[in-house]
Amino acid sequence: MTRLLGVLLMVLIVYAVLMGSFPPARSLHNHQTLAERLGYYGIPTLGVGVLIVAGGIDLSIGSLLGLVAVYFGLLLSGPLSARQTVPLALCLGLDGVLLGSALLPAIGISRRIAVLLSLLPGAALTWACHLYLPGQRVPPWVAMLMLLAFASQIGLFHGLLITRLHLQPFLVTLCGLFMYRGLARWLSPGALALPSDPHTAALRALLVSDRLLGFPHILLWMALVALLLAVLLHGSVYGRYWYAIGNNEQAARYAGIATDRHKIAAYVICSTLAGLGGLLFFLMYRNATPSSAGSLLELYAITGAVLGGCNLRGGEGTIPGIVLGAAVLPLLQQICTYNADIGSDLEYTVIGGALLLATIANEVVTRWSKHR
Amino acid sequence: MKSLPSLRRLAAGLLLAVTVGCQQGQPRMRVAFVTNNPETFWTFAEKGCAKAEKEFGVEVVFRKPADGDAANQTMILDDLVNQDIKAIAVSVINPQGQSAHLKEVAAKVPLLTQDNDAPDCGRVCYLGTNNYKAGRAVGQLIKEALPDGGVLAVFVGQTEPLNARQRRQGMLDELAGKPEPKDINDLDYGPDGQMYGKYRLYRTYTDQPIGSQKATENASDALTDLAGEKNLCFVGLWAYNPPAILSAVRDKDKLGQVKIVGFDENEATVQGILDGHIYGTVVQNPFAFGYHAVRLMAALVKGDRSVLPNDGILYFPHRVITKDGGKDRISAAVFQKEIRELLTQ
Amino acid sequence: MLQARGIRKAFPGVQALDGVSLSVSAGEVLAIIGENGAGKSTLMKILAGIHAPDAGEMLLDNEPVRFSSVAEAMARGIVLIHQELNLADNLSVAANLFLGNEEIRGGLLGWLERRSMNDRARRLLERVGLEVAPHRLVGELPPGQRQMVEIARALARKARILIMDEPTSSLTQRETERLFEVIAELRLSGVAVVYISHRLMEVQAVADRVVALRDGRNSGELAREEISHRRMVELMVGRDLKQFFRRGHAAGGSSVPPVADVTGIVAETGAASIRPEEHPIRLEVRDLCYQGGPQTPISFAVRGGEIVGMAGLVGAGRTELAEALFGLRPLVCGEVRLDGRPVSIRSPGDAIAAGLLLTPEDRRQHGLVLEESVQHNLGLPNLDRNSRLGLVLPRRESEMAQQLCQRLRVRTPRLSQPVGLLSGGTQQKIVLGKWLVRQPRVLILDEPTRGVDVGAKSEIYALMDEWAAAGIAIVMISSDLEEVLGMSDRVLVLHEGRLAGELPRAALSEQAIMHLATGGSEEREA
Repeated sequence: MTRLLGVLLMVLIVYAVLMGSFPPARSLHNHQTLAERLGYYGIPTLGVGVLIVAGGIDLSIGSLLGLVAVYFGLLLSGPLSARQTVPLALCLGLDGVLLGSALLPAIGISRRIAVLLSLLPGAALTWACHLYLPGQRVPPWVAMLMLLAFASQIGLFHGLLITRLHLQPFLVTLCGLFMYRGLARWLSPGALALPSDPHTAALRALLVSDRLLGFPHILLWMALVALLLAVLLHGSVYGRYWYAIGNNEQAARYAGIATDRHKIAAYVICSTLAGLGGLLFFLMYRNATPSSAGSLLELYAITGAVLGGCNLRGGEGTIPGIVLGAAVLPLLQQICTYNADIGSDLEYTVIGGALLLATIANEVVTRWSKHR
Repeated sequence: MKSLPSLRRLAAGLLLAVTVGCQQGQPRMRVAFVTNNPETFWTFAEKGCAKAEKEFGVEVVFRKPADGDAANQTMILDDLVNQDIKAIAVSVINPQGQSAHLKEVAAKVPLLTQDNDAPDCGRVCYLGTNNYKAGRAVGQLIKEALPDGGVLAVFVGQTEPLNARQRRQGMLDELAGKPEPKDINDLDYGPDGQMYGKYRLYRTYTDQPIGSQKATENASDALTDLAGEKNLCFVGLWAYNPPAILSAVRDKDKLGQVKIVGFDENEATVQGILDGHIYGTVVQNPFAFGYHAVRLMAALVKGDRSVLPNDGILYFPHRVITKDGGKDRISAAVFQKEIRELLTQ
Repeated sequence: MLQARGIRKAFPGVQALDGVSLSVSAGEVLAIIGENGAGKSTLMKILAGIHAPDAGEMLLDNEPVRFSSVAEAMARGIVLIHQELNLADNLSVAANLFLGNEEIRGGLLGWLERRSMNDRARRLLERVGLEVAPHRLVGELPPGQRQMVEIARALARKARILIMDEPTSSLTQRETERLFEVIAELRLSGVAVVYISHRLMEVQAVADRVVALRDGRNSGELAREEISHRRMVELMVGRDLKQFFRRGHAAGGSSVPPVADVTGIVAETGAASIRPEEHPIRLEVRDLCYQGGPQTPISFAVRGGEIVGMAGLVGAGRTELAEALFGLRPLVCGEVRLDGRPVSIRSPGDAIAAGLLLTPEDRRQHGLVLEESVQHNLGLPNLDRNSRLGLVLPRRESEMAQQLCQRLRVRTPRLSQPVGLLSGGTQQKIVLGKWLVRQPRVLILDEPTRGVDVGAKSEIYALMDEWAAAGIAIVMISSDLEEVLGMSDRVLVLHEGRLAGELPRAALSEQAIMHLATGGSEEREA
């Protein structure tokens, strides 16, 4: 509770500084601009926040977001080449295999046979993707579904490596950071632009830019994601398991919880939301530069989650806190852009310093309230 | 809840500090100059802006997107528009992708592009270098450095921005002896690994978002890859690339065995030419970008559109720097003096 | 040497100490006893400089002192050895002994004087009777030897007053005896020892004087000649505990209710006859081998209503066996049958579903999520009952927790209290309690009363008795021989992972168990 109060106070202070010192920032239009950014930053921050609660970490968010954005751009702007379909087809095929081997045992087929059986449809799916996708224009919603499946598959990949091979999350996802960035650049030598056809425009309006009662849609989508995650984290059995695993994985295991499965689920959620962030990124900014789209976002997202009360050791954090934590960065960035004395060169220093200050204040307040 | 008063005091203090910091320049009109990355190339443009700021009575907000990403630049532009900025000059990172957004910006404030153009975005004017022509000048320097042909490696931050494509293609067209195309904003992309005239383009190396450190590593790797080649020329197309190449070549003890041709006026590049390690460089005039962009914006916010060129394009001619100068050339020594004076102003 | 007067200390919601006084002189062994929450740990932490008292004064050598940190107290020769040992497992014994006090040459260069430190380490280890090379990693040592390393470390710091909090909780009988010898030597060399333990037999054996605490106050003091088990219990609980071990004392009754009757929370049955041989076999283990276990397979069976003690030295493989049965270690061969049917247990989830439950030895690491509340800890394995469509039903959960707390007499200010703030005995009750709504068939209790005070111990014994009476098969792993003798219907003794022998109740004796546990053969014993 104190943590939530702390981050709320921080958001209010930063907001007050922004509004107090730059009167033009008070306009409705600027508030909508800020709301759009909160929506965009909020989604990956929520994902990594849930993961941090469950005791994990993901450094590949920014790269994965960039990769999905680039893929989305490629799929929207024209047919893929055979080469470009390979990663997508492989991932979707693997999805098929895993889905099969998860579902078949439910109807009484032994696990080993289920895996063998589902290899077939998996391979078929890969092959179909590889044959069908090149030279084919995919409807945007199909592209979005495929890419969300792609991103979730990446999360599954992280989760499996971390739980089954006992690799360190930091290392696995750091390698991901490099791999997905490279893949994005290999997929497209040039920057991608959002096509200007009416379908895409309608999609952009629906997912990002239209307003409902003055609120940009992207903020509302983020709110919807936050609501779902809040139910999951604070109301459901899974949330309870994540907290327990984050606090003491061994105790959770001794309590009969399938800890590996729940950890993997947290990684899948994190990567899927990073993928969703990639789709929204491309729609919102209308372009994706393979070498830089989403770079550093993982750090912004992690910082946001930590400011919002997530403890990097796991087991702590709330959805409202994470959303508030995600709001700090856009506000700070705007202060830096507006203030003539800060300038671009000091921007990182100011952001870093302010976040550090906030963290210190937060810690002091928390400790002080504990001691009382 | 006892902490509230102290935190409130903190907030009030912060507020005061920031407010006071801002109010000094309030009465003047504010215009903005936005670059495409935080590299030192932009220091000259900033000097130009500062000079014009004094002469034309406007306040210039100079902003450099931290990681050279278009999304980051989009955010900065949105913020500037919301901040009551009266005119903006921007070096566009991804012209195709940003056009739709730039149109929205141009609908609110007069928009100029500089350095890197986005022809179809509703901008009132483009100021900059004809990068295609400058690229051809680079090709010319390569021909002089390796008259009998050879192998090229090209180093550039990213291949996406228009200026990078124009420079590279201009260079390749010059080497292949092709004529200038009609529309230099819609160029082919000459692939790596092919012959252009007597020259084989081995590879185009990119280094963003890491920048010059990665550029040095790229050059070093290229030296290893091409260790067996005799007639070798490394071309650095962004300001930090030639010094990065020079540093790698020096580390590998290959000074003099590799010809280096550069672009832009980095201090280390100029010194390299003076020392004879770099054959030559083609420089733009970023000081003029800054100065004239602010001059035009100052006029525009006062409603004076007569300053705009008819075709909406204001080219500042590139200059070619070699060690000894010559016809249409400037000697490195003279040029070094010129930029030093500029920076100490 | 050290005197404390009128020490008071309050924590949020609790007056932990309410004017406690004590004194200890050089060469004296002072035992401090008291139930959970009586304030023993708090008092020790104040003496050792971890907490500052709210009121009261402390005199060291007749001059007032006030410690603001552990380092200050240590500098004055007061060293506390925690119940949970504070050794760095990844460092060598010598490195641990001199951690923070390394001998250094070359100023800031920090060149370590390894040889001289190793020599000193060897002498210190000799003093505590530990035959371990100073370069061995602490993580490789069994718990008993680690305890000795802790004591040696205190000696390395030139301790004048050594405070030991439950030093024997992880020691075997032999190691405990060795510890007492060391304490006796320390006493001769003029070191004052403050000894905290729940094991009153040990207190009786080692203490010169006993100070009892109750509810944060002094409740009495016993001189050497007055110390007796009964007197100590009286001072601690303020009443006479007639029966400590409840096993075998439950009177009358004829029929034992079958497990199916134990719906929800185990009903208070109180009375049942102990005739385990009449019950069917609940748990049967046939030729079991498990990963990390011994080569020879193990077989045994436990009947419903039976409490089978599992004894052995620390490191005999009892915990490992329990973990294998609970699905925490993969099985290599053999089978496990519950009520005659073979079950396949690959994970704790499978074990729980089958009704085979484990309360782990290390409750802080494995048994509890310390940061989370009483309710959440009790609810963690039972969310399947307290949820609908994946959503937790908080009210049903809190009702369940409420009932369990009443049933187990869990002393907590509220259900939302983080369990990390509760005393050891209360924590242990929560570890036990969370299984009670699962209709257990087999309960494996690994060290169920370690670090638990007398009052809570007796309550836990009573509960075990009830559960057995309700038809549950109980396997009790314990290093506390008193407890094994008092509670078991039958004892299995393990030695180096193998079943060294089985002792029926009639043949139970400390000597018999120790004989088997230390590798003696069953035949010779018979």
